[in-house]
Amino acid sequence: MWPSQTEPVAALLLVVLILLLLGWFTRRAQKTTGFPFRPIAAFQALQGLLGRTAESGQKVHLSMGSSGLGDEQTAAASAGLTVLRYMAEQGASFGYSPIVTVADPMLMLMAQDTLYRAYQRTGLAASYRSTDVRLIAPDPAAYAVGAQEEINQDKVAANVMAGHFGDEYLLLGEAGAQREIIQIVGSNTVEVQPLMMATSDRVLVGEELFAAGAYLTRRPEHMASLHVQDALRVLLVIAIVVAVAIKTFG
Amino acid sequence: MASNLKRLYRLILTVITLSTGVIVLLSFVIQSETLRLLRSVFVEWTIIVVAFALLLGILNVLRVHGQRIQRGQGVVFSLILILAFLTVFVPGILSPGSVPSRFSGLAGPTGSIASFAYQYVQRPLQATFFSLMAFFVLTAAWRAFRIRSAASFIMLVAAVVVLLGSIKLNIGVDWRLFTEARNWVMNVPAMAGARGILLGIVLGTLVAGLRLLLGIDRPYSD
Repeated sequence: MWPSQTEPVAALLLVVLILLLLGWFTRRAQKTTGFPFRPIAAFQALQGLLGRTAESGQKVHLSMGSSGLGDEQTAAASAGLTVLRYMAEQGASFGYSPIVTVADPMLMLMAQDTLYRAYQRTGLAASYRSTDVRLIAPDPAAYAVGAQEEINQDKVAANVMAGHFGDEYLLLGEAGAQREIIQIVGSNTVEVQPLMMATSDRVLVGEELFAAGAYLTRRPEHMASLHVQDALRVLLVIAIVVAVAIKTFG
Repeated sequence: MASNLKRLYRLILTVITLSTGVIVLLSFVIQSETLRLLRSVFVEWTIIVVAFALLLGILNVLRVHGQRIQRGQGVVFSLILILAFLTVFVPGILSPGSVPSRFSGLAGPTGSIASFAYQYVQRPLQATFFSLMAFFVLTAAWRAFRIRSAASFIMLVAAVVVLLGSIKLNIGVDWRLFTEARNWVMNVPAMAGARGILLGIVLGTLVAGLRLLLGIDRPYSD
């Protein structure tokens, strides 16, 4: 069960380090008026998107990919929920919501709850429709085909994709690209990044998906987690350089 | 009063999440039978919740397609979906012992109806869609390689080098240059970029996961 005690202890130390850094950066973020962020085209395109599409009477499709809750894709699903919360709050004020497609029933419930709470906060809970969040299929290929149908059937004006996507991304990405609609995409899969570049102009590269909370909500703990990631990255780079130097000269 | 209740509700949710998260996290690190047992109890509860979520998911699918039929939007496809669902679902939930003996082979989750649907409908359809991927890649590549910026120019050059280097032609020393150039592109710049992205994703997942696990990030409450 526990083959070696070194690895778990190292993992625990890493967790403690991250928590200490999170606490410190969160306190700093609460005191400061705002950290400067480099602009990311995908997040800029999301701002006001629902308002613009509502005026034209068209829908926005949000795909949360094959992310699920309770597996290794939970973090990607959580990032997708952050994007949904932002879009739902934008649209709920005028009784307009995105069409959300998911592949996981647990995520469906969370997405419905997020949408409902956005309507509730604006005092329009009666306008909420649970069928705006649609479970397509748990299988990634079946999900992509079903969600592709949603993009074509509902004549959406924009396609936002945030979550975990495998190769099936191409079925969805191409559907949007061929219709020349606005596409904003982000995934936690390395292999899909070139496919995203090929089908969309607004791509969240790699960990930028996890920056959604900091960019869209500006909450201190989300901004702090961006700084923690940067600090860990610097530590990692130093470790790699030291290791290479030891290997080369040692 | 209402705001106090809301605050209490939020506090209870946070306490439950935090304690569950800490127990699960520690069960991976500390060698304790109690923690391991608690973790397996949580996993069992999760499975029960997932089963209920799946039932709600099925109802969602039926409602969405029922509405489509009512609105006259894609009626044929929605009817096929509902009929296919009933054909697989109803015999699938029946136990072989609860039906007359001559139909017992059809019933159950491993009965011949469910197996037929999986083997001869779902799997061939999946394979068909994945084989279509080649054509989708082609159209995506065509769009990506149109030179619009310095980045797309570099992408085009790299793609041409990789394509030429991947063609197995043994026509002399000159062709080997393409093979070597392809190997360099794949092993040095492409690998470095992919590893950089991967490290970023891992760090992002780690921090986001911990935020969730410890209740710092609460997508389930305001």
